[in-house]
Amino acid sequence: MKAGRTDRKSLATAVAAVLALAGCGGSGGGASEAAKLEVGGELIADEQLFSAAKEEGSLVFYTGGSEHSEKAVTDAFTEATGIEVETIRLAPNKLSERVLSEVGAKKLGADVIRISGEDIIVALAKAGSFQKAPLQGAVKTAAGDAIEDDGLYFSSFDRVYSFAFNNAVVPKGQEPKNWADLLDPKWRGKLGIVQVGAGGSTAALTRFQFDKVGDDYLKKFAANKPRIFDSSAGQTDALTRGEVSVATMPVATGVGAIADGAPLTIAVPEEGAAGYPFYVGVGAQAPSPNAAKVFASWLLSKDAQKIAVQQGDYPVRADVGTPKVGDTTFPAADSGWLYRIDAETALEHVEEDAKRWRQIFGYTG
Amino acid sequence: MTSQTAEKPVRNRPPALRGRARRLLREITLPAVLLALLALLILAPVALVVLSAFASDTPRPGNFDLSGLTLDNFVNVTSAGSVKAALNSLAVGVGASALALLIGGFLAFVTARTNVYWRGFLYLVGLLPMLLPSYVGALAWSVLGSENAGLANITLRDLGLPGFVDINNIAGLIVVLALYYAPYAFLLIHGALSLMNPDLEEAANVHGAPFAQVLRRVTLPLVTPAFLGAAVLILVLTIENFPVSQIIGGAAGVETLPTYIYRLMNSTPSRGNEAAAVAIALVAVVLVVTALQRRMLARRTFTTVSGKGMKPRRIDLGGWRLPALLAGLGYFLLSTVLPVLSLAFVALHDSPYIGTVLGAFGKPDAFTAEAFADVLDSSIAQRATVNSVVVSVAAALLGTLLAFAVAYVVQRTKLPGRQPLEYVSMLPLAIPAIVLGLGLLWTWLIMPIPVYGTLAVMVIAFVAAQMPQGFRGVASSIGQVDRDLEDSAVMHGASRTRAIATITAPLLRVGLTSTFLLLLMLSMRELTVPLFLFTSDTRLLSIVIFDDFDNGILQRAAATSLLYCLVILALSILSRRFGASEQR
Repeated sequence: MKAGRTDRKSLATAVAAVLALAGCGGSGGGASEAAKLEVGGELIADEQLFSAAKEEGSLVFYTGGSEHSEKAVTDAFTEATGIEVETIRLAPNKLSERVLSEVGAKKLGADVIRISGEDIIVALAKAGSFQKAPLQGAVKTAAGDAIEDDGLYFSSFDRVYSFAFNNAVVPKGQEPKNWADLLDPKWRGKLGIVQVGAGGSTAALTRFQFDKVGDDYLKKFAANKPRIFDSSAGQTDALTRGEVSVATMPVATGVGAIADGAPLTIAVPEEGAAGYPFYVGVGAQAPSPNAAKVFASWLLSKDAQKIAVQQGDYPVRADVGTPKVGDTTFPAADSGWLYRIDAETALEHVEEDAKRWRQIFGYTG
Repeated sequence: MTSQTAEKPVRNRPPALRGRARRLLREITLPAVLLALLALLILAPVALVVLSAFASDTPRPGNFDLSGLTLDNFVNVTSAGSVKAALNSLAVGVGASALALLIGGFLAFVTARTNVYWRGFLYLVGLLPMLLPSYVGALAWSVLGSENAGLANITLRDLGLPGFVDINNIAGLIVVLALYYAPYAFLLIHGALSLMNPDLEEAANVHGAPFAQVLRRVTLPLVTPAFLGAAVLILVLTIENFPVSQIIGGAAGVETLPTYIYRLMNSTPSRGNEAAAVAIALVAVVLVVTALQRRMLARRTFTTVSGKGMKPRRIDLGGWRLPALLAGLGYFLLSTVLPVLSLAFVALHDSPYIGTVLGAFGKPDAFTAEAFADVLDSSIAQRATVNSVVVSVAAALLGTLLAFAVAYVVQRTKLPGRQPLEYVSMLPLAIPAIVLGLGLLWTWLIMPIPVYGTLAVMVIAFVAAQMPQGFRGVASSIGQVDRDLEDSAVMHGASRTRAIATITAPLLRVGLTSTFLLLLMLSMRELTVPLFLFTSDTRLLSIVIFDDFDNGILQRAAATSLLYCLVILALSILSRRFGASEQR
């Protein structure tokens, strides 16, 4: 399984290459006097903001994104700016509980927050978790309508929810390709799915399955006696070890696992896949507000967006390409393959879908 | 005479009154201070949880809405799902406690009172699983014993045998819990058996009772408090254990109350209010169990340690010396050897996917220490190690002191407020750690004392969460030391404080040391309570492992787990050394 390690190295090399190609502002450790931060010719932070940020030296990043993908991003940011990032990762729901408590006590320790789930981001914004962080013109234009709630937070990318199988367990020629293939009785007892209440990710997947794959799809899926997991991370581990053979899978999570040597193949099903946004906001009581603003803006830069693409996420920028997993490039964002609903529709369906899902799988809680 | 009696009251009344008032004040001060301390530590978080059970919003600083009080949350408690979860919890708790008592009681008996082979080693066997936090054990067993990809079944298939091991069911959950809770039974019962006065047994023996009868009529009744104490402790701990239920039961689809609560907390949006309502039902059950135990023990006295010297008699096992040893070794294999080996195998294997166990030993590049290097190199892991040690030592020390003060007042004095003190001390046992953790978070966010975000809040949380274990540990030792010893010193003119310091405390040194060790281990192992309290600077080792597990980084979690167990081992050896030199 040397291949796994090579993959990880090659990913790191690719990230470095992207940074080099983009000519990341020349503002790394070398620039001792005040300089502005530019990526690919776009201004991320002016001299005043950037030198104040460097003065602060570090920032605290609360995220609901997966460990592996966030590490790639924060490493690249530190490389480009010399600003250290301390990451606290929690599942979106636990993270929102934490942020709400800290905000209430006026002790929010986060400089920047990244989280998924429309209901969660709305609740956080309502509780006053974020402060407005004006973005520089070019970045703002590139991000377009990703900026929400009058600039309090913005979408940083759309993560894709598909499925994956263990290629060391599933024999050649037997591989499932489409969502419909998972209904084959040969997968009975070998399927995995994450419970609907896990977060914005599972809510989006469920909506997609009801709306696009078929109203009775989940009922047939449930008949195959899948194992139900609490979180996609635990499920990924079980899939990697071969406890289950096929499981639903956020693509970036699968990419991270593959880079770590997991024998997984991510499917690009014909029926499409669910997309769900990860939002970013600057903490209302950010201890390092300048570094926070630089990091938040930088997440929309070409460099950061290209890293997202490499993780299998759809970027919010139109000029950095579409994600590729293995040898397969995902269909373009506007091709209709990626099932993406707006925040309003998501909020409208989230409760009813969850209730139906629980009934179908006979799942309590 | 008449004049004298007439004079005396007149002269003495004011001082007598003053004395009585002073005495009353003195009597009230200590229990009042202790009660206030416990109220802050325990009642405040519990109150916030209770409040949230009746509220429509989870309470938060700046969001205390008492207008929307409702009983809706309790509707959830009576739903079919939670009834099933409650029944599962009960089955798992009773099954695991019975098995743990059997294992722990057996080991305690053979090591304390028989001439079994390798007695000293078996004593270690009884304690060693304490070094493995239950969730590390569960992690190891899920790697070792799952149906499709478990190392046990892969090894069996390597040998051309059918894989028959499957830990992911209710029986597996019971076994894993029992394996890691048996040391509690072992410690408590072993303590009682070694402190027991052999005169009572000998008396029965002299009067012609056969061995079996002595055992049944004298020995077993004398260890009743320890046995019942262990039974209640383990029953409650297994019912409220979250990590094992989550790891093993989660894969099996076996829902228990704690995983149900966790799920409610973790659904979107968070249903903390309903979780609190479910927790309150759980609290009620546990309070009934504790009350029953008190009633059962209240009727009799169990004083077994007196001023006379003693050395418990050892029973000759005869032909059973070897089978007893083998049974002990079997437990050692299942609780410690196999789990540790599987964690090591997973951590060292070059890929998370394991196709063959035996085959891996033939391949030159199948193993790499990369995962260990990752952990040792990580500044997060280094800081977490320091945090864990600092917090655990501080929490164990303060916890033992507080437990001693409370247990002494409850057991040895007739001061007012003893009953509330005991109930409040035992309360955290009835609050699932995950709910207590939330309550503690809310409390110390609201509290004007700025401890949130420091290691101090972790210490506070651990002292609160482990008060029952500390209290029970100290109280059962106090119960065994004859109070006449201390009273004699007072009769001979020593002050009560001096008598406690020079008579009772030294007699309890073993009990206090083992309570300190117990609290130290519990703090080192605790995962659920700090889960909501940690900040980036105050991450503990358990949190780091859970994060990795939660994020699906199993190899690093396995490597960290092993290093974590080493830290716990080192700490326990150090503190035993320290405890031993103290005794000399």
